[in-house]
Amino acid sequence: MDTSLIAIGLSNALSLNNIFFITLGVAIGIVVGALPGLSATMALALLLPLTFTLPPDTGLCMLAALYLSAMYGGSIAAIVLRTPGTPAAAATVLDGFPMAARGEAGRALGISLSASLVGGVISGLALLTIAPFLGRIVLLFGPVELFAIATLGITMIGTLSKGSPIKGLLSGSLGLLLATVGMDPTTGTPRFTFDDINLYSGIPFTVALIGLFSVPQALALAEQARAHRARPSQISDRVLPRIREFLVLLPNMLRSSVIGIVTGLIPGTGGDTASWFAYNEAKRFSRDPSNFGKGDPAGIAAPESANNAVVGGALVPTIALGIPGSSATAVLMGGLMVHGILPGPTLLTEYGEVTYTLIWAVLLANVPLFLLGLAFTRVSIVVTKVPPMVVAVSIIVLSVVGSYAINNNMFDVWLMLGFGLTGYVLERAGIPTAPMVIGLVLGMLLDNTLNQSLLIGFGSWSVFLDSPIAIVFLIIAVLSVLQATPLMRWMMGGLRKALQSGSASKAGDA
Amino acid sequence: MYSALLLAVASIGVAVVFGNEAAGYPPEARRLPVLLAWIVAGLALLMMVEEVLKWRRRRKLANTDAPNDGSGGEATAVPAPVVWSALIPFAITIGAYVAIIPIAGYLITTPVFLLGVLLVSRAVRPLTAVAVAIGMTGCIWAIFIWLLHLPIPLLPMSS
Repeated sequence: MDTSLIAIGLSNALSLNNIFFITLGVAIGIVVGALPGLSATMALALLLPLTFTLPPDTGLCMLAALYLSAMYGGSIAAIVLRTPGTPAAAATVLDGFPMAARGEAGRALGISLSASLVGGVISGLALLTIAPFLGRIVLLFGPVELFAIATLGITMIGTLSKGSPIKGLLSGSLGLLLATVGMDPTTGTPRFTFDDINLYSGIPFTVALIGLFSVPQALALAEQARAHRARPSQISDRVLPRIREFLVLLPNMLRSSVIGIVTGLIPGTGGDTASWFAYNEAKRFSRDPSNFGKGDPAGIAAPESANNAVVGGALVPTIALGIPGSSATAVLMGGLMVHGILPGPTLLTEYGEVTYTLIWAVLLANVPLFLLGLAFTRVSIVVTKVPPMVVAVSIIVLSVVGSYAINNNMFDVWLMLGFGLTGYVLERAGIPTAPMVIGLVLGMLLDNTLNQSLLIGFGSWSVFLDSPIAIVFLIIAVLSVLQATPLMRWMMGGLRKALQSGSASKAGDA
Repeated sequence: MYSALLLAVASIGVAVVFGNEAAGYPPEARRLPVLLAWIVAGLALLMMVEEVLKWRRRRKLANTDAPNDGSGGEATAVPAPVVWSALIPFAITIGAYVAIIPIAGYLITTPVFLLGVLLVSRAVRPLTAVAVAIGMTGCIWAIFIWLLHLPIPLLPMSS
C-alpha cells in the first residue's frame, strides 16, 4: 500500500499542473524571502486563500515550494543588504555580507543556492523515509496518546519559542482558549459566541493566521518607512559555484542538513535556531575559525543548508502526528484543513495520495529553486529596493482580500484586523505569536481527545496514567515546562554546587 | 514593560470572562475552557512578576552605571520605541478602508487606499504611487477574481 501511494504521489507531483504551481511557488518564495521584513510564514498565510479553489495537492505543493524557496530568498537580502530577508537568514549575514563587500556577492549567492539545494534535497529524502515510518507507529495511538502528544507539542513550542518561556506558554494557552470558541463537538453547546452567529463555527484559523502574521508586519514596516535603507551590493561576479569549491563545502553542507532536519523535528524550533546551530558547528569544525565573520564560504553554506533542511524536518511531526513543527507548518496544516483534510494519523492512509504528493513536492521543488535561483539572482536584488511602505500597503490589501475570501464575510476581515492588532501588541510585549497559532490549530484536537479519553476512563483523569506512552510524553511536557522556570535553574544550580563541593572535598582528602 | 503588563491584565480579563461564561455550560463543554482559563490567569500573573523583576534588574544596572553592552541579556534589552506618528494614522486608514469596502466596492476603495497612503507618506514619487495602486489592484483582480472566481464586492452595492 505504501509503495503504491509513494508512486502515485510522485506521478501527481510530476503532472504539468503541479510542476507549474511548484515553480510559481518557488518564484514567489524567492521574491518574498528576499524582501526584508517579510517571512515565509507571512507569505504562506497570505497565499493560503489563493489555494482554496485549487485541488488540495496542487495548493499544498505550491505552499511547500514557497516555504522552501523563501529560506533561500532570505539569504539574498542578507548577502547584498546586510539585512536578513527572513529570520532564518540571520546567520548568513555574518559571512555573506563581508564576502559581498569585497566584490564577491555572486559567489556568496551561488554558495547559498547550492547549500540550499543540498539541504532541501536531504530534507526531502528524510521526510520521505521518516514520515511514513512514524505514521505507521502513530496508527497504534488512541485518544489518550494523542492528547499527550498534543500537550507535549504545545508545551515544547511555548517553552522553546523566542523570548521568555512563560510568555510562550501564555501565548499558546490563549490560542488553545480561543480555539474553544464555537460549537462544542461533544455536546453541541455554542461556546463563547456571545450570541453572534458569525462565531458559531468558531474562529476561522486562516483569518487568525493572516491577522497574527501579516498585519503586525505591515504596521512595523509603516513605522520603518522613513528609516535609512542600505544600498544593496551589486553582483558582478560568477554565481554558479565551481565544482571544486562545492566539493570542499559538501561535508559541511551535509552535516548542517542533518542539524536542520533534527532541529525541524523538534516543535518550536525552526530555521533561525537551525542556522545558528549549524553556523556554530561549522566554525567549530573549521581549520581556521578566525576566518568566520570575514567572508568564509563555510559560514554561508552551513546556515543555508540547515535552514532549508528544516522544512522537511518540520513537516515530519506535522504529517505523522498532526502537530505542527513550526508556524509555517501550522499554515500548511491550515491548507489541509481548508480542504477538509484533518491532520493526524489518517494523513498517510486515507489521504495518502495528497500527503505523498506534498512530500515529493518538497523534494522536487529544489530543481526549480536551483534553476530559478541561478537565472534570477542578479535580478532579484531589485526586490530589496522596494520601499517598506509599498510592501506594507500591499500586505494589507492582500490580507483583506484573503480573509474575505474564506467565508465571503466582512466579519472575518474585522476579526483579522483584531488579531492583527493583538499580534502587534504581543510582539511589542515580546510575546511570540507562533504558539498562539499552534494553540488555535491544536485546540480542537486537544478538546476532542480529552473528552474521548475521559469517556474511556469513565470520567477519571487516571486514564492518562494507564498508557506508558502517554506517561512518557506527559513527563517530557512537564519537564520542558519546569526546565524553563527559575525553580529548575535553582535546583540545577544547587546540584552543581553539591557535586563541586563533593569533588573538592575528595581532592582535599587525597 | 508596560505593554507586557497591559497584556497580562487583559489576559486575566479574558480568562475571567471565559471562565464565567463557561460556568453555565454542560460539564463536557466547560471542562477544557475552565482548565485553560485557570492556566491563562496563572501564566499572566507569572508574566507580571517576571516583568517587574526584569524592570528592577534593569533599574539596578542603570543605577550602577554598568555598560549597556548587552551582557545583561534580556533584562537590559530595550525594544525600539513605537513610531506613533506613523502607526496611528496608518491603523486608522486601514480601519477606514475596510469600513468603506462594502459601501464603495473593492475596485474603487483599494486603489484609493493604496494611492492615498503612498502619496501622504511620500514613500514613492506620485507617478510611482499611481502605478503601484493600479498595478496592485489589477494583479489582485486578475488572480483572485478573474482566475480564481472569488466573490468579492467589486463595485458600490446596495446593502
